Amino acid sequence: MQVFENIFLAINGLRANKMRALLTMLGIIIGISSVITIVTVGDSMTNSVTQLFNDMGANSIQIRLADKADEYGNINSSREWEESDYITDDMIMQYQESFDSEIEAWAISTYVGSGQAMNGHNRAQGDVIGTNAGAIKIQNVPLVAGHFLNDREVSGAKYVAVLSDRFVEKLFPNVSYQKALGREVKLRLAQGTYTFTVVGVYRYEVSGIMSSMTGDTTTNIFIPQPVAQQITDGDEGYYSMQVKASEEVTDTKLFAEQTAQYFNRRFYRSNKYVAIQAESMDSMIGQMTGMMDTMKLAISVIAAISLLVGGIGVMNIMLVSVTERTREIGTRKALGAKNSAIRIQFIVESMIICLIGGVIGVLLGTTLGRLGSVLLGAPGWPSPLVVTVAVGFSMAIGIFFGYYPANKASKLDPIEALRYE
Amino acid sequence: MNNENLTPGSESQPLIIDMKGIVKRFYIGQPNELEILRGIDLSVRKGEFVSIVGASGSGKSTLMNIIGALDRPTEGTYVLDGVPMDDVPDDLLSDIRNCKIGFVFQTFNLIPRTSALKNVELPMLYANMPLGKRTARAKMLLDLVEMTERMGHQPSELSGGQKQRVAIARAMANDPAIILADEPTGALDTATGRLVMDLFHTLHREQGKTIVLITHNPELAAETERVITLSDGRVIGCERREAFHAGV
Repeated sequence: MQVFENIFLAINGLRANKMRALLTMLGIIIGISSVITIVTVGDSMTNSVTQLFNDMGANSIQIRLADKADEYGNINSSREWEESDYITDDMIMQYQESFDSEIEAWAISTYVGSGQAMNGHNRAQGDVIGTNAGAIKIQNVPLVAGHFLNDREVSGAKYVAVLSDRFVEKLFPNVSYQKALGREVKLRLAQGTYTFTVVGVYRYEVSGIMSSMTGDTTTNIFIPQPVAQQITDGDEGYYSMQVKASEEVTDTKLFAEQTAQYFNRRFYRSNKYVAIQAESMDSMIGQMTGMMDTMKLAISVIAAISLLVGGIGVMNIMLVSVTERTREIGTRKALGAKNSAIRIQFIVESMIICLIGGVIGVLLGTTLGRLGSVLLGAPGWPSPLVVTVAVGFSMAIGIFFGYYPANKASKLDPIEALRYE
Repeated sequence: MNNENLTPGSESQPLIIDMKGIVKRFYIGQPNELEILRGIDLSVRKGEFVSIVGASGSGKSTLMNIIGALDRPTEGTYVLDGVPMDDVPDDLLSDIRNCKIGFVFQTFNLIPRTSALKNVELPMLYANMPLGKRTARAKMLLDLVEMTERMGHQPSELSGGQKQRVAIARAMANDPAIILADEPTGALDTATGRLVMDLFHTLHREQGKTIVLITHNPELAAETERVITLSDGRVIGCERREAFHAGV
């Protein structure tokens, strides 16, 4: 009907009571902005975590030691893992032979410690990780120069290292990555100082939430696993490893189960304390996403309550507005306004309040969501769908909570209304 | 009740208001049942300028509400401009008010925060007239009441007399069968009230408008063609003025 007239009228009315309109909108603004913020931050976190796991390879599985429960279901948490509990090279060899067509690559890694390198006044710091050649296929290590650790270097326990571009830039300013190859780097570790030859440089990616956890100064230095073993003089064997499934594997989850079964039957049957657990990345992503969804749902419930309270606030102010404008309603009816015209007028007004509140909420939520996601290291924007739903929902609140006051206005007796002081 | 006396016999114009035996009761069936109108017969022909006078509580306002299609009589028949008003539903009553009645109130009742132009457009808006057409007509009507210069002003920026002129222009919006004016000068000073009355006379004389003026002021009533006096819910007098004073 006279939709534009009504919108114009509603905005006019709001302009006459700016402060009141703003306060009324507050509940809607808070509700909508918190939904937008949470969904934006949650989505970008989920994306980032998913990205992280995908980088590791969605078709890879994580194998690790886990404490076995005794016959009463209790876990002896005071016992520490011993060398005999660890996954050995021999186990891995047998495993690889048994699952030859399923395994594309496998990776183990040992954290050696923080190392510092010096070149005159230039210093660089990095975390030294002992790993094997298969790691390149599982972890996200995009090379920009040279090569990753190869089998020969690993099995020969060569003192070679793969550095990040940032590490190279700090240590050898004005030297290209290509020229950095073959240079010697003296790494000072807690255990002593060791000299490594640079064989590869990879691009360090500030990706996802990991950047905020690791900071941007410490990058990984990859060295052959046996060298790490020598430096740490630690136990032989590993408590975790990653396996990348080949293209023949269609169900990584099943492959993970088979892997765990294989290890447990073959190597851990007699071990009373420790067993092997294997989990696919898919299921880990699923767990993570599920966690995020639960969090989002919980906060959405709070936001929904805020919207409900906001809606009641709108209803309240609309009832006040109807009472204030009783005479106007009477006049309009005398001039020929049908009940439906009056009802629409007030519903449109309530809808406009909620719509403006919703738009402000979206803007505020986008800002906060952007800020939050950037602070958490996973920058994101709210999806158009979320924005559309939020704006639509706020309008729906306007209609729902505006209906009762509008109906009340439309049912006023024109004679009484005209006489109202 | 002498019906002959109420009807101006010599006129050949059609009846705009044709009321027979109008009774209005309130609180029907309750101990405090109240009979406000006790059988009103009233006829107004097209182009007449009639006034209804009476003391407070005589039933003037109730009669006006029934004439103005704001209320329904308890008993009796009312035909407004050929439309019988028995048992009409609310929406039809709204339509009748919209196109057959032009209200002018004592307290102006302009819509606040809305320009004079938009106020005049309002009844045409409710009649679903297209924007261009209603704006043009509203401007023409404001010109008629000499308010063209102030058409962009809001009611709060207008004087009492100006407000009433806008209200009269608004009453004319859908070219109604009757202009129903309820104490239109009641809130104005004598001089301004005089101007408003002159405007009614002009509309009556030049536009041939049917005007029903409700007032308690006998001097104003005396300016009209016919004075209908109410008392205690009955018509006690219908004085037809031979020498019609057409104002100044």
